[in-house]
Amino acid sequence: MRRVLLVSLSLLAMTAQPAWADIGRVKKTAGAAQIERKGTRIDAAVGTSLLPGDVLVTGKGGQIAVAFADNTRFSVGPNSRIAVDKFDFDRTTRSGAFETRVERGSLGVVSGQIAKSRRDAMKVRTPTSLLGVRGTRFIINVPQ
Amino acid sequence: MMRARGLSIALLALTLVGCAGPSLLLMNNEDGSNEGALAVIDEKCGNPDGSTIAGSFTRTRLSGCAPRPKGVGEAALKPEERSLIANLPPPPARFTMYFIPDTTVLAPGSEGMIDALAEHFKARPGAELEIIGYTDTVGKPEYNLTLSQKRADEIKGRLVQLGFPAEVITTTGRGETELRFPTPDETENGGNRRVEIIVR
Repeated sequence: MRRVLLVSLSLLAMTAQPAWADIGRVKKTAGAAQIERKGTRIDAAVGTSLLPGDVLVTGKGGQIAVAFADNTRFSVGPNSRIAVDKFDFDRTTRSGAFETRVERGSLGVVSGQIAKSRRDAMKVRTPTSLLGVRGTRFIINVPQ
Repeated sequence: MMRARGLSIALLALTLVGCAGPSLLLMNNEDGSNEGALAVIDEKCGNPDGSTIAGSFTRTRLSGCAPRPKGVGEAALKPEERSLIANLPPPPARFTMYFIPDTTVLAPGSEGMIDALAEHFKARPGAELEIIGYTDTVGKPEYNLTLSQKRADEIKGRLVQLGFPAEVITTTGRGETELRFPTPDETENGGNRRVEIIVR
């Protein structure tokens, strides 16, 4: 009986899984705020999905806040270029690899599940160094 | 007075040092704990474990292989650093709903959670939902993995019927792993038969 109920309920509920290529979403934005994707630029409107390889670009007074699928959160300050070079995340095992490059400007970070999954699974690159993130809240500043 | 001025000049000097090139400001964790750390892991530094930077409210110039963090204290945060932190998206919120054994039927009392969830969802710009299904340890692990996925899909279906956009909802089944209340195998436990919903 239970089995029958379960099957009929699951048939009702069965829906196609969305393609989860997107790795995070824009949650907040202000001023000049865009996403550079494969040579084109799109507005970083609230709700915009991010893809691996995207570059978050802000101008004077610009700001972008992003939440990633592993619960990592970014706050991008004005006059910044932040490249999300790599984001692989397995939702089932909650492990992955995350690489971000701060080319210029400022980036506030609260790390998420990828940083917890394995030592240095999350990396942040600046023009002068490569950092392994071991779970924390921090700010990177790269002046012009 | 003199001492205060001396202190502020020292802080100013530190700030200026921080401005010279790329720098790191390590803060405390959101819960106030100090366990966070980063490490300089450049291959050319020849230190496979990396040089660790720890300690909350420290500023570190990012150059060379031997970072030297300097304590700055929370009061020394610059206005632009404060606004960067203030502009972070809020931490994810979590909701839990429970199920009747071996079904995708919500247990009494869990229905009400949907209203709270809806309100929370509307209040968060660009919100997404991640629904993760779990089971207790009754039955085979493979059966429970499928059951947990069906629980997550069932809740997604109901939320979509209520007007939640399907494209912002993901579902995962984790079966009888990550028990909320650790039990031996083949143990009925209402607290483990659940979906956890993360609002991001």
